[in-house]
Amino acid sequence: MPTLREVRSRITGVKKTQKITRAMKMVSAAKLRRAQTAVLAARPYAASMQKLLGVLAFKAGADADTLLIQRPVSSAAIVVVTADRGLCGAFNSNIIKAAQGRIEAEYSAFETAGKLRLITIGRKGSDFFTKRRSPVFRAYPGIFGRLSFQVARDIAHLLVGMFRSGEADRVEIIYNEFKSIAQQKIVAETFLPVPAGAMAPGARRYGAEYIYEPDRDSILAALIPRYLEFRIWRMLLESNAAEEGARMTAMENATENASEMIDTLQLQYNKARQAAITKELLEVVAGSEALSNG
Amino acid sequence: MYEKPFNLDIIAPDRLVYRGQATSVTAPGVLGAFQVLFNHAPLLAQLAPGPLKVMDSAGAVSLFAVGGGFAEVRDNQVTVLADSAEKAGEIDVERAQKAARGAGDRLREHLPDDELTREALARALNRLKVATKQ
Repeated sequence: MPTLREVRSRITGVKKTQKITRAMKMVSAAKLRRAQTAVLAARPYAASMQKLLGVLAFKAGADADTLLIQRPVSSAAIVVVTADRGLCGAFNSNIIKAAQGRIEAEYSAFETAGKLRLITIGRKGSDFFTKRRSPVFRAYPGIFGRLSFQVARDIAHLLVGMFRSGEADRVEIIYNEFKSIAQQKIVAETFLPVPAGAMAPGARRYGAEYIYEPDRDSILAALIPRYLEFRIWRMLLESNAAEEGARMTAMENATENASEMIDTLQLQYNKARQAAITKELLEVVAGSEALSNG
Repeated sequence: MYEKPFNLDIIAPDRLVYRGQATSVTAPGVLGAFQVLFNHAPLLAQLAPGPLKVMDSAGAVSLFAVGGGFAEVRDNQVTVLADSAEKAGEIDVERAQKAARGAGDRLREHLPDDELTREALARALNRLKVATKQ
């Protein structure tokens, strides 16, 4: 049985922790709102861009640009998007586990042959993979504090360069998609070659040929990198929103757990206090009885 | 002047800048500015940084600063996918001036990424031009 004083100090401790988790939840809620707005604001551009690229790729043919061409895969790159910070539930460990699963299932041969390049975005993933597995080819830690489009551009550049040079015949990205505040969905998508065929299912209906200015292939060559930069940008936004959602949920649970813990401790404290009082009473009564009997 | 209207969307990566009807759009194509009117033939154009002029059905003209991008015209729907787009009144003149000055300084030093700097300079100057025209 812990003493009264011990229980009391534990209650104070848990209350302090609860104060922190509650504050973190509020901060996450505010950040989530911002991240969510950014995700929603990027959607119209994404939709139009995707449609345009799909139609254009359909018109130009599947082999009009190197970045569209599917070639035999003998090397690959995997991009894993994690968070910079922890305390967001299983967010980071889930995505890392998913990435490891993907690597084992699809790319283990490449990995042993040294033909797999791992690129990590977010400090948690960078730390994890640097400490353990295959060497990290390129890490982008600490970018979520101030997300800038320039980072997305740099990452897209790197990946396109790897694809062009043959360092990676396929580039895959694993990230968290923002579903709702309490729900993230881990998605593994092919980034390169660009799966343009799947992008505009209605492209066939676009009968009339366009007037191109300057010409079709240069527009396509300008549009694809732009699309890829934007795609990375969207993934960063999605992952960021998903992370804040996960953190908010985790902190809410922590706050609730703290409340439960405080209740249990309070009960324990009351019981201990009762027991102490009873004991004292017994002593007093026994003492007075001893006196009157004497 | 009062031509038939068509639909116009101007979309930047971070927001929908304009959605509505227009009777005339003049856009800065990479091969030179072009104008789109009602029933224009299907067109796909790459845009350079420059001013984008929109006339609505009432004949009012609004000016946008576009930092390059793409424009698609099809079935009386014009979609401008701009790398950046701001309405003339929304442009932060001070920021644009600062950017232009910074880019100019960097160009004089002949740093390796001259190409990017030149693009940034073009965008900043375009913003200033559009802002002062208003």
